Amino acid sequence: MELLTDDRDIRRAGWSRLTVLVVIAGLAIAGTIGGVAWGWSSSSPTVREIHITARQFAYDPGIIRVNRGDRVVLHVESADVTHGLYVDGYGVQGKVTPGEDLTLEFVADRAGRFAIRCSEVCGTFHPFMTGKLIVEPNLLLPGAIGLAVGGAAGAVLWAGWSARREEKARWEEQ
Amino acid sequence: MSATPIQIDPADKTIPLQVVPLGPDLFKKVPLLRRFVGTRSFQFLLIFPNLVFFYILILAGIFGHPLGNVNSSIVLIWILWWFLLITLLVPIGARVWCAICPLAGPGEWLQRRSIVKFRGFEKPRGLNKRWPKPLRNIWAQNFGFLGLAVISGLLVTRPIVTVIVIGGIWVVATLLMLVYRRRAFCVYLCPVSGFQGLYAMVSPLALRSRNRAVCKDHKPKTCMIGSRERDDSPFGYACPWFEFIGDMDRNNYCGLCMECLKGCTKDNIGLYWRGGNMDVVLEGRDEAWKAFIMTALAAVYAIVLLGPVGTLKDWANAPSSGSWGGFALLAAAMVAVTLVVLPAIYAPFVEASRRVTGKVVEFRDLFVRGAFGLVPLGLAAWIAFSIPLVLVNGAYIAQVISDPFGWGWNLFGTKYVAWNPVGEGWIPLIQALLVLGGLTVGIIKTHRALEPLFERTRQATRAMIPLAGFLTLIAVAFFVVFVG
Repeated sequence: MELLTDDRDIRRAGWSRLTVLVVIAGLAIAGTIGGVAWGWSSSSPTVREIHITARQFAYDPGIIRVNRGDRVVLHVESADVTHGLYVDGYGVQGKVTPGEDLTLEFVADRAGRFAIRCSEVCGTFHPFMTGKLIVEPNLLLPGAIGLAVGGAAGAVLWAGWSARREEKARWEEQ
Repeated sequence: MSATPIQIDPADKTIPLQVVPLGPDLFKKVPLLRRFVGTRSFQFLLIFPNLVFFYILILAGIFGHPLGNVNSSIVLIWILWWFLLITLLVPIGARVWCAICPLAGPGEWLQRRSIVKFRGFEKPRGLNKRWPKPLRNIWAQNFGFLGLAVISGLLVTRPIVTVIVIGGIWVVATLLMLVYRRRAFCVYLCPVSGFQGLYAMVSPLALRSRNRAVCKDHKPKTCMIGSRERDDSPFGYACPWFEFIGDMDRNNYCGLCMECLKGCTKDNIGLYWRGGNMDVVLEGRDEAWKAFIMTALAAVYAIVLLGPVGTLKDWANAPSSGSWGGFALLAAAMVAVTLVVLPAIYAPFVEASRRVTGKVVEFRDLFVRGAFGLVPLGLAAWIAFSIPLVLVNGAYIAQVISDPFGWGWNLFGTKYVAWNPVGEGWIPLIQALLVLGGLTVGIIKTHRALEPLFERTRQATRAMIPLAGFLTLIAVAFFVVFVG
């Protein structure tokens, strides 16, 4: 087994791997963010009318996708009991009883993922009555993945480097 | 410069533990703390108010409103208590909850024939049997927690189910303490205990021997078997958790009851604040599987309870929806994912890790040690799962404090606090940062756990690369669940 006993050897081995890993991580980050941003830039703001049926304990559709800048009009009806609808981050809120329609309107000016929650106690599973609004480009997901890949590579290198430094210090003590 | 490689005896099959540096001794820094935890009444003073509090919650569960949102037994246990436990008590205070747990206290008092006063450790009440040898592991806790997880959709929404489960744990704990020695129930059976032990590894708080040589040379081992020797301080019972502080080097099975402190005649126990240092070594497959179970369940809960898929919620809520077939399917999926699928995904990464290091380590050893990465990552995922519960539902906590039974009381004027989520727009970002932090800490600390397995640290680094790939994959799965 080859022993790395010199500071320069240790640094060289570390840096060559670091270079490869950082390049991979950088490509991953740039690729994902660039791809998402390109996809988003090809669309222009529009009015999005969406019909939602609230029931115990879900919304149908459960996932709504819009683009940043879109004017979102939600038409909500209830299939069973009184429900509420609250959009995280936008503070949009309303209450809908069976047989009535609720219309909520807002401009999706914040990109990202936002939970839709029932704001009226509607039964046993009420706290878990949730849906999802995705305002594209949701850069948090590719950004987090890119950071995870880069962070993981950095963490391995850092852990290895600090362990080798400790190992070297032990040898010197001996 | 010449270097001497570390000598490892190939015949020695025991794997050394990673030595974790300890920080300042809080008992020396704060002598008042040492005096307080050394008193006989210390644990009673913590347990008693907690017992009264839980008793009220049990009453609320039985006689209160059947709707979870307006019943304190659901809101204060499954929103407030759970949040405090998983985000503060365990990550910072290790198993400090075990020291104040009201469910085991009464059984222990019965065993000792006393609530506070020392009545001797030699003849405890009950049969005082030894826990069966085949069950001296945390498999029972693993299956117990998984069992609770399967019915969690009912447990966290229906007060009466919460009463049955918590009351059941209380009754079983008390009865078993009259049959088996000390806190065998807590060490081997309690479903809440297992994951606390696992995640207590990351806590900066650690109760340890100040000088192991002193413990080793101290033949009576009073901390382990009990003490009557000291005249100048309270007497001590044997360690209820079957630990010997002299060789204890992990937080996993220390309930922080401070009984060893009372039995120690050498004043050789310190409470250390070790900062970012943590225990990094999982010691058996039962512990590794606990890490798999907890990590997988964090994802399953986030998908089922916080996700947008109504069908999954119907399955989890079978008594209301009638989807019993779906409930069975969900239960089977939970068991499969936690016990089989996640370990099966992990295994090829372990094998790759072995291969890149020349197969110098047994698969089993690498499998168990490498699973440590899931401890910080899984804990981070659980915190990420729990944060929205409080940020979004905090108003319910204020409401039930004024009306614990849901009977229309308004004791403190907070009954009609409007539901108003706080900081909910930042939840995905907070969750992503938590998972990223868990991933980074998981990789760095798993490297530490692997180092003693190899002759050279370079090998540990090489072995870490596939395992880091696995942890990154799990982190990406959490990103998809939380922010995708």
